[in-house]
Amino acid sequence: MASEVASALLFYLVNGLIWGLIIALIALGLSFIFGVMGIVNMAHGDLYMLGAVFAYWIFSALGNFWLSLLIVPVAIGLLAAPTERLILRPFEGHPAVTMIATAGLSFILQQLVLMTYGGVPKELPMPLQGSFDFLGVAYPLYRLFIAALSLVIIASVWLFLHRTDYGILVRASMQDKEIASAMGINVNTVLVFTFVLGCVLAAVGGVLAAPVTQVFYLMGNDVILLCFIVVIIGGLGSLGGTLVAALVLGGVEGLLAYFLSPTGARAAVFAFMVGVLILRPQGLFGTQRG
Amino acid sequence: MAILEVREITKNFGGLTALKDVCLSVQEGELRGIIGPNGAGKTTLFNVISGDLKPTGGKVYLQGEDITGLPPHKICKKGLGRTFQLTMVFPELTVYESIWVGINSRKEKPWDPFRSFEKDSDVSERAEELCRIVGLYEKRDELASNLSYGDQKALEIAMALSTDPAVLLLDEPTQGVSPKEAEGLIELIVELSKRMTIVLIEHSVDVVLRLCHKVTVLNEGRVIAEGSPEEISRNKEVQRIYLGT
Amino acid sequence: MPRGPRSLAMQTMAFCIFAMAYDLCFGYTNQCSLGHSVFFGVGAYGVVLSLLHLQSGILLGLLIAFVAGMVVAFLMGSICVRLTEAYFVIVTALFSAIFHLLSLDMTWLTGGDDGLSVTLPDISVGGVRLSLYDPMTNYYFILVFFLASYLLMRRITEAPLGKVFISIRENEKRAAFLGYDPFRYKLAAFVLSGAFTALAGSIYALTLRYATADLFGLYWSIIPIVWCLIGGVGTLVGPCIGVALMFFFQYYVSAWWTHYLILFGVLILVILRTSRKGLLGYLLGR
Repeated sequence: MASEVASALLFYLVNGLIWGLIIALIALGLSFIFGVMGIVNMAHGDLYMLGAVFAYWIFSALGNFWLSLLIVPVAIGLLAAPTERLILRPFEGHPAVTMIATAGLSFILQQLVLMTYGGVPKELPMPLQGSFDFLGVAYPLYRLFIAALSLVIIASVWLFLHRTDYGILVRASMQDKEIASAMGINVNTVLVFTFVLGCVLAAVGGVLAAPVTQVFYLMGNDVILLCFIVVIIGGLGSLGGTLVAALVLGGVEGLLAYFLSPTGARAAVFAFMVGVLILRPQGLFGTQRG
Repeated sequence: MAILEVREITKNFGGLTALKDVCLSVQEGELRGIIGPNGAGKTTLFNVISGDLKPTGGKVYLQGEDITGLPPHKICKKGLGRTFQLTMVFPELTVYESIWVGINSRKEKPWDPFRSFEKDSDVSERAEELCRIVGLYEKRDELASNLSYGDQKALEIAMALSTDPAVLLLDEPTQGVSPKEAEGLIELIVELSKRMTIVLIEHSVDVVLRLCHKVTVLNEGRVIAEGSPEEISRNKEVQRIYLGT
Repeated sequence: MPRGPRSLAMQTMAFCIFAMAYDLCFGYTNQCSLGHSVFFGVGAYGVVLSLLHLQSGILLGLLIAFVAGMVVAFLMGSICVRLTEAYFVIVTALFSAIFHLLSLDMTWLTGGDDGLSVTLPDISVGGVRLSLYDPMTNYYFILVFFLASYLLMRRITEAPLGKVFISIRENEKRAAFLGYDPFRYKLAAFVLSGAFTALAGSIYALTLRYATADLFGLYWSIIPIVWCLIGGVGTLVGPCIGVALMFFFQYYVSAWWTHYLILFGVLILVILRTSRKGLLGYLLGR
């Protein structure tokens, strides 16, 4: 009896951690975009949604899920780059304004998807069948794949930022754009690149999540809520903090979902965030110049 | 008893030591000058005294009371006024309104929704008086953002005075203004020094030596000399710093 | 006055109260809250739940809603007001999202997005019985509240308190160095704003005779910003002009096209790109 409960809890916990990895991908994109250009991207959840919707369309048209992992980044990049350059550029550096502007974009994206994809939630079949047995729990292979790929992507982003020349340029721009510009860094391209990278991370998260959740035009709203909580607790602009917070919160929310309703678990996580803020208004690892 | 006392104030920013064991004792009615090369820590010292920064070590006493680490609005209420090197005005308020705001904060209920802005006579009289003292009476209905830089500097002083301080900290009050405006401001400072304690940061050593009763010299975060203007002008260390600069 | 326009006029007045209340927060103290839908919804449910479960009568119900808004704003503000700009916008938006989520979930209390309907009891005032089912009475009742709200908020902004708010908006550091605790005053503005927003929500619920969880949605957090930006921030009257200008959009476009939110999104981007101070500011030559 006890071992059944333990197995169930383990299942929920691992589920939560894997979901936490997807959230980490998305939240990293969000934190990145804020750190480099001061944009609080309210439409970030909708980019996740677009990734899932595109995955559905690609699967419907071509019968192949894996192709999405190649096509979606390109498609999102083509959408994101002009959006940053033409629409969001004047607002950068003003968090409140960018949040309102991206809220506007969010409304637009959601309605466009509603008009084309429709309002009915649809499902995608699992691209990988089978499961892996561990400690009495049968773990779906696809979910393990999600975990592995997310880790690979996160590690790649870290390596990129810390070990490549261009990555160092991006981090320099994150610290201080004026100095970076004075050092000859083409800040323009860094801005577009960063925004595209952030959006692609969210969209890829959506592609990965599509087979395990329902693809629905409002699916981004739930995700953005958790992402913002993660980013606030971890500290805006702190990539390490975001990662830690995403994993911890994913795991905690996963465990809580065993005892409470999903809404209850979400509310509990929110209450935890409030607690953190009361003690540390800049988040756990935040570097706000307050 | 000193009206303003600074004891072994140290301020570190990460690896950088901006102030180290700075001591200062200002008597009531004194006009004290603080000089030193750029980066010596003069404005940082003002920031620590006025509550803008918390010191890493040491204490600050105002009228005998420990004000170390208190927030700026509390220190202001205890009798400290301050101007800023780069003018800190309210762009969309007029000269009169800006001064009025400071006087209002001394009221028992500065937030009272039933008091009228125009009709509260003692506040409005004092505001007009301060406009006159700093020479901005004719421009009292001008928006602060429309004033010339020299007038903004005068407004800075008026705002610092509006809270009726016992000690006034002036951070480079004549920096960036024309010589004529500077003379006007200096006359104002001399007048004010007859009625209150003033601590003055000035880049122009001549002005400080001319006006001040006592001078403190800072270099690289430390007090390197203190004394009367004559003593300071004869001090070899001070000369070396200024000639070397 | 014929029926249709009168009902719209009443809703417009409720929105004007909301817009002016938001201006206290956004225009007068520069706090860009994205959480005001919380107060709007609390106000609506405050009066509806009071009528349904407490049999409180309309006037008491409105008072309960107002006080509830004040309390929620105080709790929320105590956490949010001290946060820096980016965090403030995000956390207020998170409060809005959580309230929306919880209200959709707790259908036993809120009726979810189907909402709760209520029948309005008669009001007894000084021996006179008034029924809000009489169109003229309803209209004048709302008008009284609208005018009272306007006069109260005008009094606050023209009194010393208003000038202190403006000084904190114009240069918070300078205001602190003149002896004002910025946190206290910003919190005060936030609480007043929340209380009057709750009043607006409760009036709106009275005109519709119902409250729904949708009132906690993001749209109701964003729309007051649009009203203020179109009409003129920091002027109290300006946001009312914004309500009037958006009136066409809210009633006709939303009824005619289900996907009107696309236009709304485009409108937001256009407004943000153009005038920052709004129409009234432009006319006053600022």
